[in-house]
Amino acid sequence: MIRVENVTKTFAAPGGGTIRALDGVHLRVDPGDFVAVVGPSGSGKSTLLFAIGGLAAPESGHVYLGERRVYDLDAAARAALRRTDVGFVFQTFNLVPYLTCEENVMLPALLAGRPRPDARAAAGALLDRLGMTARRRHRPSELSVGERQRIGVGRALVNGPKVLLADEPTGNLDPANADQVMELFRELSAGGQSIVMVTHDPRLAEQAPRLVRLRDGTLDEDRAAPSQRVAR
Amino acid sequence: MWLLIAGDLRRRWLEYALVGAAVAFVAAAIVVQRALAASAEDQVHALAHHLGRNMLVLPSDADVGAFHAQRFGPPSLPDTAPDTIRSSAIAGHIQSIQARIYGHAHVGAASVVVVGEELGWPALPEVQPAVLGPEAARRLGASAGSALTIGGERFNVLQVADAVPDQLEAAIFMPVAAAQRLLGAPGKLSALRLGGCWCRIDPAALATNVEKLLPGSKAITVAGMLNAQKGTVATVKRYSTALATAGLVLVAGLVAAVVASQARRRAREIGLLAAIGAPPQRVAAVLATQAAVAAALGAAVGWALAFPVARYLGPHLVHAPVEPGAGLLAPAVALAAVVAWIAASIPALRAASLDPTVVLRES
Repeated sequence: MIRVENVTKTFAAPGGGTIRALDGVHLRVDPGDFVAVVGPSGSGKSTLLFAIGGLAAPESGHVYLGERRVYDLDAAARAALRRTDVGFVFQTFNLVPYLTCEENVMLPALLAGRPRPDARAAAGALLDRLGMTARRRHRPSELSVGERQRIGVGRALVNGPKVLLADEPTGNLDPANADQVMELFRELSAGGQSIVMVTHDPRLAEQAPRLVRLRDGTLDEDRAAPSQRVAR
Repeated sequence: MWLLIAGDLRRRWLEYALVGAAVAFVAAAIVVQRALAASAEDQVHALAHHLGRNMLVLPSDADVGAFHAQRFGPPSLPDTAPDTIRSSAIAGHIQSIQARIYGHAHVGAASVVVVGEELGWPALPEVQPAVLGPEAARRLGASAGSALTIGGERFNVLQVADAVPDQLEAAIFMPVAAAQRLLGAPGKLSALRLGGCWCRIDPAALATNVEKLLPGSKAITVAGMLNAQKGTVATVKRYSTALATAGLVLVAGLVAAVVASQARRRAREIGLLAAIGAPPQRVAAVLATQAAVAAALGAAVGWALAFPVARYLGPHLVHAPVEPGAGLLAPAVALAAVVAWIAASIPALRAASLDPTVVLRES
């Protein structure tokens, strides 16, 4: 499903020189995999996520989504790929503040060219699944942080993406809300959704079936999480 | 994308209203200026049409536009002017001389135009003969046979004319001497109208001769007016173009600054749109369309605002009622929208092409 092959990505350092954010990273994520990516700050976790999502072109190596080599596509085709095959969930939710919950969830569907009634129906079904139907007319500022993240997840899922990329999705949530999001991700994963989640929280990382550790841009560890090993 | 356009227009309505207001002022100024210029041009055309093959001789300091609008200044041609012309070398080219003195008189609350002209008036004992235009008769409540006293002068109304020359419906026509007494301008005339075919003399040369013959006068012919008008129209068009260009540059600069400022504040939203698959051109189109909508609405408001402004300024500036044309609405709205769209596109495209990972990381 997702293949990251020998990917290297560098950035210009503020004081001159370069920072090697990813250094020859290999990763394979199959349908239904739920991967937690951990590592210290600056280890390349978010860069890996953006590279998989078609937002950060590597200097070398390849990223495959299905059979397509993401960075062989032009910018318009990569944007189209993000509309249909990739869903992003962010730590700070990044909801559009002047749109209602329903409109925020509809947005990627409308961008993908789906008719408005169809987009509204898809958003309605997701809001129902996320237990947010009563809040569909509310704006993000009227929601709790946990509710906002649920809307963020709904927005990421509305086009039925093959892969869900979550960058610190629980970073702003209290433990109870964080557990709810993890529970939701496990359900999605059980339904065949591929999920790659960056997190700083070891407790939550251990809840994911697979754990990948990055250090200085290299893949330091790729293993089933301890809890899963026990379960298996 | 209308979801984003409408949503942000509602959210930042004050910012867009300020853009719209600036556009409205510029649009109103351009529409009013065009309406005034068109009205002034129409007036000159009307006067030229009215003059025909005649020559109008006025005091050199007279305002032709005001004269045409029946706002007469103090008369200052000598009433010997017709005899001066008749006895000059150019007399052979002049077939008729119509000498008039013009002014205004008040009778109670009514105001009428006074026209003194030699029309072969009958001699009446102790009263002056007069002919009223229909509007003057209405204002004075007079009819044929009525006796009037105006400024101590007694008049007998011989007739209320159905048709009067030069659109002088509100005038009382009387002998020149009576009008001079009434207006306190003995020995003075306001205007001469010289008739002729001008086929044996260049009208411009004849006008120069008349002006030399009557110092302190100016002789106006259709040819001279049209020549003068060409220069005036060219000047007005230059100013009009300069005003419109300056206005559009101002609007473009304002729109670009507002959109650039908004793009900075909406960086997260723009980054998010990129992340969920919106192409940069589409994101830029959202920002540019919002600016274009605000500018188009502003131009429509400006066009509407131009009506009362032009109605107020018209009588002061061109001595005539001025009405901006409805035909200016569509071009004003379209031009404002296009200029705003283009001006907004530059900062919008720049904002939309920024690396989304940078703003998403920062957020």
